[in-house]
Amino acid sequence: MGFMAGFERGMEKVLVPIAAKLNSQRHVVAIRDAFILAFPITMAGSLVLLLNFAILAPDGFLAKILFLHKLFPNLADYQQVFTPVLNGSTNILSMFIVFLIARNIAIALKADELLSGITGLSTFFIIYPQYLNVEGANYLSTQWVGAQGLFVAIIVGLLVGELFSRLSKSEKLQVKMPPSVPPAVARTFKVLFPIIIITLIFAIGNAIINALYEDGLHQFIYTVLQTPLKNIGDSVISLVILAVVSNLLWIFGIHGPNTIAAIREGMFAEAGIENLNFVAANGTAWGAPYPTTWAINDAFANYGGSGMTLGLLIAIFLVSKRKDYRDIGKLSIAPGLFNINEPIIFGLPVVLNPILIIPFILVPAINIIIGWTAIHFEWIPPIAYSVPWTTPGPILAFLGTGGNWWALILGFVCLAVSTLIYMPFVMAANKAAAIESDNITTTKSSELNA
Amino acid sequence: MKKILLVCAAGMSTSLLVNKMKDAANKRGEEIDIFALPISESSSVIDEVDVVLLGPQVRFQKAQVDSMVKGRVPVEVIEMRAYGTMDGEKVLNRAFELIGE
Repeated sequence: MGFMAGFERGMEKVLVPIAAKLNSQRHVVAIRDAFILAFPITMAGSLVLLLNFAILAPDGFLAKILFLHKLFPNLADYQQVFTPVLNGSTNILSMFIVFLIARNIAIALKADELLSGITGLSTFFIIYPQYLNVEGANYLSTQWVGAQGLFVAIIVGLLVGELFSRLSKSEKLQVKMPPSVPPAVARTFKVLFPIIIITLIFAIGNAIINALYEDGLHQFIYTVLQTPLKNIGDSVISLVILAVVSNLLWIFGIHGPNTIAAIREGMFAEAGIENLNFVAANGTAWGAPYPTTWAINDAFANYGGSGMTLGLLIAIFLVSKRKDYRDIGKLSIAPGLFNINEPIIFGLPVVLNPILIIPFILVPAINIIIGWTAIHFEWIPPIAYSVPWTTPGPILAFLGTGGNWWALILGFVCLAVSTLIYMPFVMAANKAAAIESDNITTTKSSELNA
Repeated sequence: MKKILLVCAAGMSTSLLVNKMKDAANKRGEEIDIFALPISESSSVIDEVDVVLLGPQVRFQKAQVDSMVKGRVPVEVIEMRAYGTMDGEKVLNRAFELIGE
């Protein structure tokens, strides 16, 4: 146990400060929280879409189960009623993100959060490609308000949030109103000059970039920043590395998925939305443009939560002789079904547990590879529908593929694989407990605390 | 009435603990307000609470919470095993100890 204790101290010194930095650095936090806050809207859009195709498409799985297509011959005609829901969610995600990031930065710097958010949105459209005039009417391209504009939204949100918060604190730029002026009016005048300065800076910057790069600012950022990052994400190796890092953080008791959220969103947000749009246009997940996304992790390698601990729970009920393991197991089943596993991670604990570290890292990596292989060789369609990560086990794979039965079966295979891998380690934990109870000094030194 | 704030990641698992703590408080006939929030949403209520407890999975945020609280009330990371076993009574007892100090 001497080695583990030394290892623990070393990692506490290295890893915890890095995680603390990542989780408190205001720009990273602003991006992460913006995606968290926008999540319910995009998820609502995705679920409406899923129901739309499950119920209203003649080959949708619910339609088939309930024989709806026999009862209503013109079922598919009603699909178009609900398709516009995406236009109000993922298709304008960049507008939400730019507002929320500018707002989050202002909150961190204690400036006027709402006006900062609105200024962010305003700036986003100052630098937006010009209206197209067709037969007397003006048209704005939808190309950059959705997924493709995400990086512009992130950069603008961060810059405007910083500029707004700093400029609005400068006494020299504040227009002072006499005390008789109502506070709501005084508030707007206080930030008038900062907003004018910001809009001028962005208008001039936009003109310069447009002069140098004829495709415009949005295309420029998309090509040099967003596309390379998206391409890095589009590989099974990246998926496995991200999952290993995320689960490794949990081993040290640090919330893994939260810590890597900002990076993960940058890599996969656009791909996920493009997939969703493909589904909306074609009514099927087959042929979705980005088969390799983080959704594979959720669909096949995250049952029970990080480390796929639903397999660990089953292994405990099958082979564990330890009362403490079985007690924690019983407590963890209900939250575990919804992929929440802090009780196992801290209760068993998995944290700094020399035996369980190996399967906790290994199981998700293997199941990501299994899921990816099945999608890569087109045994099942890509996980193109976004489904909440709290959806129980293999159902997530089933719904994520738009109701593919093979995906459901593969989900159960992955669960079996995780159980089989966890089993020998749970048996090893039995033996470790037996040895420890023979030797009181060992027991004391193995009581790892947080 | 005493108020306890639990800081966590997304409020999912900690809300389980909140329920267990409320049960423990009810049994003892204590009137107490307990709620769980992620750190990003804590700033609005942190000035009204009597003690702040952090989930062990966000223990690295203690410095940030400390700077928000500015020493006004006690701040502590919940002991890992008590959190994992969702031992509402133990955490509640500790919270009272901290408030009493």
